[in-house]
Amino acid sequence: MRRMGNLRSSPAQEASGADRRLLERVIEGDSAALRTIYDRCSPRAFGVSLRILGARPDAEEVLQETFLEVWKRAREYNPDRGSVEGWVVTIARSRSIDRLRSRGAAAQLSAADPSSSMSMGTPAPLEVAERRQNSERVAAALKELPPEQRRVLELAYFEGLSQSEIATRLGDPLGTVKTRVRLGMEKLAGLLAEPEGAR
Amino acid sequence: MRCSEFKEGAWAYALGVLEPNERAALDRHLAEPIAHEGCRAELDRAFRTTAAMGEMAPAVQPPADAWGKIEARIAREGRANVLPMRRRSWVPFAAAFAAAAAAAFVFVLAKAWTYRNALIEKNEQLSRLSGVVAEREACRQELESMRQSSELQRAALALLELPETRLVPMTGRQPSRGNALLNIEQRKAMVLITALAPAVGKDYELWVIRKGSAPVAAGILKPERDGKVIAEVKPELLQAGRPDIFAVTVEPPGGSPAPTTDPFLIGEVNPG
Repeated sequence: MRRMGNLRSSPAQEASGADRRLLERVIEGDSAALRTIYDRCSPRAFGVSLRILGARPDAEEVLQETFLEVWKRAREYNPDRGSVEGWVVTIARSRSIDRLRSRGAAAQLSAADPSSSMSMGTPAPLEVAERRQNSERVAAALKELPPEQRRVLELAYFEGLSQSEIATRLGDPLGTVKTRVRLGMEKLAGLLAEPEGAR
Repeated sequence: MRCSEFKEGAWAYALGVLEPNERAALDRHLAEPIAHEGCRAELDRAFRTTAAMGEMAPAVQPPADAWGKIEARIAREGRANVLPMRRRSWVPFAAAFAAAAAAAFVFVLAKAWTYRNALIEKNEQLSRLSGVVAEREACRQELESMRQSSELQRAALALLELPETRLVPMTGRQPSRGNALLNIEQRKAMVLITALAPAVGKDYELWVIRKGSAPVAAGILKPERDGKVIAEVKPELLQAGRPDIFAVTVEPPGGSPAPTTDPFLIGEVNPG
């Protein structure tokens, strides 16, 4: 598995060179570099935590844990598995689901705060435009999934349910859920890999 | 477990929906010293897809004090590579006095040396005066360019915030890429391009194109040193309605009335 240690030899990845240099600085203990990553990634990480946990105080706690983990585990970032922002968001999602499970409060789930604003940390229009383009792309890809596949992916991603739990929740056979997870993910991967304008 | 079974399960693995025993079985397969049939690559692909799914949630700005709390926790919990503060050592009074006297002597010497250097520097400055005037003008021009760039950045952010602004991805010759921002209701459009190589003996020219009509020149693009360029399309070029295409070509210095080369970058406006 590729790690930060041999980043320079990795093939073209989603992670930009600037991102990789930032993480190298974080490994060296440069908190200003972590701040830059925070400015860039915290709105999305916080948005995911808020969607999963529903409560702002919990999401704020998770945000702290997430960036503390980035600080301590920067060396473990693997560019083969996505961008730095994707990695940070994945950590935020995992910690949010851990917290959700530990408080046993699936019933407390609520939709994302409707008053929350779509806002970006770094006021660089080129980056903002690329991020918005990326969001629109993922949203468009998700829309192309059959509703039953999208539903299982949302339950898995935002509620952290296992396939068995999803089957119980939806009253569907486990085999059907497994198939929907696989087909949904495969289709999503294919749609996201398509060049712009191919659809 | 066969590789084909692993690759089927990789998606659920990356999404975190497997039971612990299923996960362990996949871990065992991945650790097997056999000639895998793309198992790790498939798992990486699944992880990339899962990472992208975060885009399903809206981005939300954290509270203003959130970073301060993270910084405080880093200081508290830290890492091994954070250097501890040096301990202050005790110095006997006499030794401290001697050290202070020596330091004062060194200080006086240093001051005299600095004064001498300053005189030399002043003379050199006088002789460079004519050059300074030119440097100041270059500096003023650079500041003016930065001010204009900053104003364009603010304008682009404002345009991006409008819900009816559409993003038109511009692709073409790698690694250059960009977006046109189009808000036809307000007759506003801008282009944001990155990784544009410096133009030597040529210019990049922007075109607004409507199907069935000749391309309309929309200005010369001057990339910054970092290859980025932000440019505004004149509102009058949007009076005729929604353009179909934004394109960039390489033209002779000063631009051309009509494109003379194939598009370097092109972005088609989705009619939807």
